[in-house]
Amino acid sequence: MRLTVMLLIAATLKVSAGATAQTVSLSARNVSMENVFSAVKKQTGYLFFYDRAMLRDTKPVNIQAQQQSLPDFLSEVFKGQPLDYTIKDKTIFIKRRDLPAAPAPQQQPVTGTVKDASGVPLIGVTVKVKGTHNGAITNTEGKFSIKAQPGDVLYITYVGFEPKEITVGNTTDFPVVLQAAVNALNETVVVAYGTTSKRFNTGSVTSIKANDIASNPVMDPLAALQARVPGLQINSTNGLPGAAFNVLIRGQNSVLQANQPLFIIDGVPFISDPLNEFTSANGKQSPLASINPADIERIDVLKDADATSIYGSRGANGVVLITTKRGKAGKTKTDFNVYTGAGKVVNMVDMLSTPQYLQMRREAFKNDNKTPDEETAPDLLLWDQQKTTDWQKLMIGNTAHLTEAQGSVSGGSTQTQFRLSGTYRKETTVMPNKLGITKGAGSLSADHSNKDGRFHIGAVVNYSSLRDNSIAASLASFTDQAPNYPIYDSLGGYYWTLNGLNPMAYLLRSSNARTNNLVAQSDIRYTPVPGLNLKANVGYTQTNMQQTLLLPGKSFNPNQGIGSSAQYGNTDVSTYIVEPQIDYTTTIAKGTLQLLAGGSWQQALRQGSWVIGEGYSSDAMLEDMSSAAKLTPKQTSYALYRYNAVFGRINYNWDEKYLVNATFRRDGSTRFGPGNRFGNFGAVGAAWIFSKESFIPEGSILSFGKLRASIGSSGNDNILDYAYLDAWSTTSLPYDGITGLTPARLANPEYHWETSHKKEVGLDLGFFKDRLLITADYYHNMSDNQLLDYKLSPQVGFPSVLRNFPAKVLNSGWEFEINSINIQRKAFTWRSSFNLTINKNELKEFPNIESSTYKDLLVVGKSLTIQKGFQFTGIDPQTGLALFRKADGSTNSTVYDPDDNIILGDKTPKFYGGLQNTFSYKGISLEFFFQFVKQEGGSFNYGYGLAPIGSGANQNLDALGRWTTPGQGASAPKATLGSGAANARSFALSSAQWGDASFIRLKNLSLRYDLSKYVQQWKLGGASIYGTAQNLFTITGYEGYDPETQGRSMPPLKSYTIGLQLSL
Amino acid sequence: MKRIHIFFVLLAISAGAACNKFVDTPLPKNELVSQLVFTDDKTATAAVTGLYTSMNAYNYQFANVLMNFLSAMQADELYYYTTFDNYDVFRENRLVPSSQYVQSMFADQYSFIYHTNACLEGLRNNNGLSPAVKNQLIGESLFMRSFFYFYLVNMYGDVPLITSTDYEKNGIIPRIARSVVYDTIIKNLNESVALLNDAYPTGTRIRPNRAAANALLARIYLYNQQWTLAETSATKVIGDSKYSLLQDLNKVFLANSGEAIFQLQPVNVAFGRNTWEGFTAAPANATAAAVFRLDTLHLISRFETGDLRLANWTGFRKTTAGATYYFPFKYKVRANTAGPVTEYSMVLRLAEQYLVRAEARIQQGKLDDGRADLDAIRVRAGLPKLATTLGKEDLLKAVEKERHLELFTEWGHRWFDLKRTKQSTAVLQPIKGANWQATDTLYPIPVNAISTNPNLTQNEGYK
Repeated sequence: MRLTVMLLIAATLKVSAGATAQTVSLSARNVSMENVFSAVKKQTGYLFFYDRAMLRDTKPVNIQAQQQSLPDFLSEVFKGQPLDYTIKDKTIFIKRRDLPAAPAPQQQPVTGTVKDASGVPLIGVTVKVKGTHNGAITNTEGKFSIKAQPGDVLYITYVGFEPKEITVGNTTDFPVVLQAAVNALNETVVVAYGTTSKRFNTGSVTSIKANDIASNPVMDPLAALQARVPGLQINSTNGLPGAAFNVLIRGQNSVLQANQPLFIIDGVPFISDPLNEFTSANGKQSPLASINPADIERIDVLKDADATSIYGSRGANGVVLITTKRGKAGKTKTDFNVYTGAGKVVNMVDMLSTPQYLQMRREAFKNDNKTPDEETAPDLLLWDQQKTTDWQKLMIGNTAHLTEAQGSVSGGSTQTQFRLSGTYRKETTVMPNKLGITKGAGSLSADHSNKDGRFHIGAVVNYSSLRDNSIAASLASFTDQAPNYPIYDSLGGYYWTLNGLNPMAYLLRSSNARTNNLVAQSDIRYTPVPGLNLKANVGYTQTNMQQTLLLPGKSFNPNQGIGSSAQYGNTDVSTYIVEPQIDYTTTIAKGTLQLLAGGSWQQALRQGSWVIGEGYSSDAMLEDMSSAAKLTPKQTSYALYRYNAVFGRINYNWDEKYLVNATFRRDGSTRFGPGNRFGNFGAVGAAWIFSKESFIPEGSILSFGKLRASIGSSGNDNILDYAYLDAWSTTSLPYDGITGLTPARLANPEYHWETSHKKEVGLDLGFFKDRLLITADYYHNMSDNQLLDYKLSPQVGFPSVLRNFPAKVLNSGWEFEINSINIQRKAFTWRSSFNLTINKNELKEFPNIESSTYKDLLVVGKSLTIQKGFQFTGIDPQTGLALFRKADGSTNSTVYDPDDNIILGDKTPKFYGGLQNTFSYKGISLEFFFQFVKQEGGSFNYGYGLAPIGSGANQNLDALGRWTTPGQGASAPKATLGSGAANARSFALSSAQWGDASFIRLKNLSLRYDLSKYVQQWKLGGASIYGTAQNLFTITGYEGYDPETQGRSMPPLKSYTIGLQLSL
Repeated sequence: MKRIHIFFVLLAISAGAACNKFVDTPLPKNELVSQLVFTDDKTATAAVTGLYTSMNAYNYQFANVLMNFLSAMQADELYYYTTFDNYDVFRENRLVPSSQYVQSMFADQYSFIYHTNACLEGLRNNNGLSPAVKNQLIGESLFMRSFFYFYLVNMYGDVPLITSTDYEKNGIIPRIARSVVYDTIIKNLNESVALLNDAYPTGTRIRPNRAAANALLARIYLYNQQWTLAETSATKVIGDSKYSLLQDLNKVFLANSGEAIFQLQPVNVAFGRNTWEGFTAAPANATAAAVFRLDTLHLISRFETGDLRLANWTGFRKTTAGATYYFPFKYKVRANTAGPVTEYSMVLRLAEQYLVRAEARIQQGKLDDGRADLDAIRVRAGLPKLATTLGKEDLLKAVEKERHLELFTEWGHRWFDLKRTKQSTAVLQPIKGANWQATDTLYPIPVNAISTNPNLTQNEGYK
């Protein structure tokens, strides 16, 4: 049906109006059929419908005709041609003449062997005789056998290689060597359970390759993806190394905010929830920081239904496939790469100086009619009145150092390949005391095929160990410490107020985490007959995080009399996966058919404990659990998750023009109660490569054109385990001699996954021999059956219950990607790539929202990420209080949540993207990469829990605009100790503190110089030196640390590195 | 084509692989499914006592510092040494529906009520328990639920009355008249009296017994001006030989003190902690400053010379500028890593029963009996007996004063006393000034409750 529609579109494109006669006059010698057709069309108005390829085998036409009737004329023209025709209405359909059975020329089987450039046989290569239905698939030794005759053209295609045409001569055994893809369209794209090429992909997938990852000196691969993939939004939560990223593919689908995509490393699903039992200065650590970017070959981001439905109830938020490097046959390659660098925070915020601060404090006492005394105002009465400590400089103003060294050896024969690599990295922070992360990572892979290639086994083991030496919380929170606070008392000890913290003493609270991560995977293939593969993917991951938080008594205010203590966290996650698969590739008619079926068994077990120790004989022994006189368990966790699925895929590629891809998955997951565990998901994708049609002449500027569309569904089961279970959990702290029980949750056995219905239309265009590639996608993802942590009135006894709700969330948007080779000369090339994402998030439906618990949080027709707050109207010139517009339209200094709330704005970016330019001239290459985001956000003074102007906390320069005298116009409320605290709170949550947080950032600048020609004399394979700069500058109107992290989180770093790369 | 057939056969085989068995996971190891909880005496008891752990596991919960100290700030007893908005909104009587502790105390208590309701449903639906244990646990749960409702109605006024665990139904229940809540409390407490024993289930006074139910009942009758019933209930407690007014005031708040009717055992006793009240308000050492301070003008100044309560239940320090301030010192242990836990949190104690009975008797005109009860308290505090000439009004004033001085910083007594005797505005307006409004006697209904239950209405003064 779909095919017919496309044909009709094609036909319509050919129609042109003409005069109408029923006879033809033509006199011609040696003209092509096509010329004859156009003459007929001109004279009669009849249209010809044909495939231009059919005309290649026709003979030139000789004809003399005077006022001949059309049927007679045509029968004469088609005499002796391999074509036939039928007339329907005013259209003449041309088709191949059915070949007479008997006199067909004897076709000899032609055989050949297909290998890659390094001599490894290629298995499963499609070989076709052009213009016929003959096709073959190479066997495990790369051999094929196909019926063809001399003069026929063999067309040989394989994913990841340039296609090849070979004319059959008299020899019958061809050696065929396929070259790795040069044209971006022919490059491999990794998709679920297989590969395809950009040219033939029916789904929406963006790939990032090792080069682009390697040019960023980052620890977490997610950092290297930032702004490079349309539709992928990655925000760093905190500028400290190891901090987690917020990752969203095509917007927030789920009201619950469980929107993490599914991460799969070499076919093994990887945890995305942090393992922390408790947080450190960098918050919760990103599990992906354990994956070593240097060992990553490529990352493929799967977005639409066509690409993700095969992941069933876990594919709704998109899928990120990470493929690690493997050995390649050929000369043994040894590579070293070392870089080192330094960084500082991108931006600091100017705060009040001591005199300005003290003036503000005096005003606060005056405004509140209070007299400062030595307890309530030591800053005014006891401390130095002149000295200004720049706390930011002290706490986050240091230089972070970074060093990484990588080494790898890879190579192998055509049968066996290996790769071994090791990486060491040390990264310190901008905080004092040499805090930082040390990472060691190793990767070992081996691949072996038996002699006839029927059997293949491969394995890769990636191991990393991360040690994070940090402190209990980010020092960015000391930004507002009073500028004249004395760190030390007159005796040289820490100075303490009655109840406060001393920032320097706080530094004694060390928080260390060690994360060990193992990802092991093996794939086994057996090919009994060409085209049929029996495969198994087996994987195992083991991730362990051990944390210690040491709280020496010295770090506490002595007025609190708290002794030394330590906390120990230990979380262990182990997962396994077993996925038997069977795939079959064959040629049918003019197409290639690929079938896949498989099953999946997965398990993840997470166990954790958090124990508090006290009573140590010395602070030096805090790290040792057994030195504690008393250990108290704080919490334990246990979650067993199992997942089971069957899946299948049918892919048909007809003559490289029409592609259909259908996927199906049935899966079951223990995240849901019995009876709700199994679900079915599926998708259909189709593509039409219209540039292959005859109406696009060969050699036109449009070298490639593909229209694709997909529709399907996938699910989201990103929720806690056991939430369906009505159970009681232990309280861990005994009462009256026994450990009590407490209701664990409000159980709901009824819920199941939320479903995302995804639709997409995409257009891929190539111009100028594919030097300019443009991809445009429009997507429309409707997520319904929302799985809500449904907020309940506190009178129920629990804050929420998990349940499905017929609310609908729509994410729709446009994605554009442009890759071009602007200049390609012998010595100089200039490449650009650009991507842009415009996503619109909308809560489409929420039945009875007015009577639901979401009435004050969400608005139908608006984004899920709206931020509500108060409408600031100005500072009352008489009282100095901030004024707000109330719901009834009046203006008042007292406003209430939620009645007086308005929508301040939307936290989802309006659009975002990146622009990369790479210049290479001889051995020098220069690359710069800009990130741009158009968004809104809260200012430095936005948020809960901020100290009002005038309280004992310092302020940024906004406080200079405060009200001081009656009648004065001001931009900030008056200084207050506490009387104006409620007003200040409203001010901090109002439109006054909300605004544009857009930015353009030079994310990466790198300059590389290839020294290979100088080092050849030393028998080195190659060498280069390079320098990179990250976050070199940011153009933004945002006032605060940084528009990406916003508020008072640790901003990202501006860093410079230099490096050396050597190959032996 | 044949190969395709093979393919589909294999496909069909693997399709059969999606088996139910694999995804029938075993239950979590750190949880117990509800059906099993109430099938034996031991786990059923653990389910009920789990509530006491939850009530006191962390600081700044309803049952520790919040109710004891914040309500004392709302009245005329306590202040924090410096500006801190979360406390100041109480001290300055400017609560708003979004005030953090207004929300958390509401949520705390309803989560405890859920716990008692879950226990009651489990206990009533299971017949495998021994009758003695079942009665004790039902009586205990009813007592605790009544206790929370007593606080809810006194803090928030009319409140939703939740007596089941059906969250669909419970989420939209509107507020119901205070009198109806009181009726339920009284009915349930009388059931408790019948179900509970005179003896404590495990000997220590950390789980309610019959006397605890009678003591709370006496308080509730007093609040409802049912003087005869209040007197009768209090008499039952006072007449119980287990309880006596301890002559050494420093021993009143110790674990299992003879004055204790119901105490909460501290559970989170890391770092030598005892009670949260002591950990929060007792200074770290003999010279360390105190951060929670008693109101010198309105509380300390009311102590008569020689009042042992001033000497034993308060402490004092001098500021660097030389001014003297007092702090609550009923609980004396901030942290004692050297020894066992010696202090428990007092919930109900005998002195209150004397004061309840004194007031109930005076209200009924039994002035001599009432004065005798007051004298019992005064003599214990080292003070002379009251003049026998005092009339009803003077004696009621004496009750008010003794309650203030005896029960300061305990469980909101002062705040509730002012309110139930309609003295709040008269006493507090002169102290709090312009901040005071008559409507401040009730807390606002928390914003998160209003916004999640469309059937809730807001109290006057917070709209």
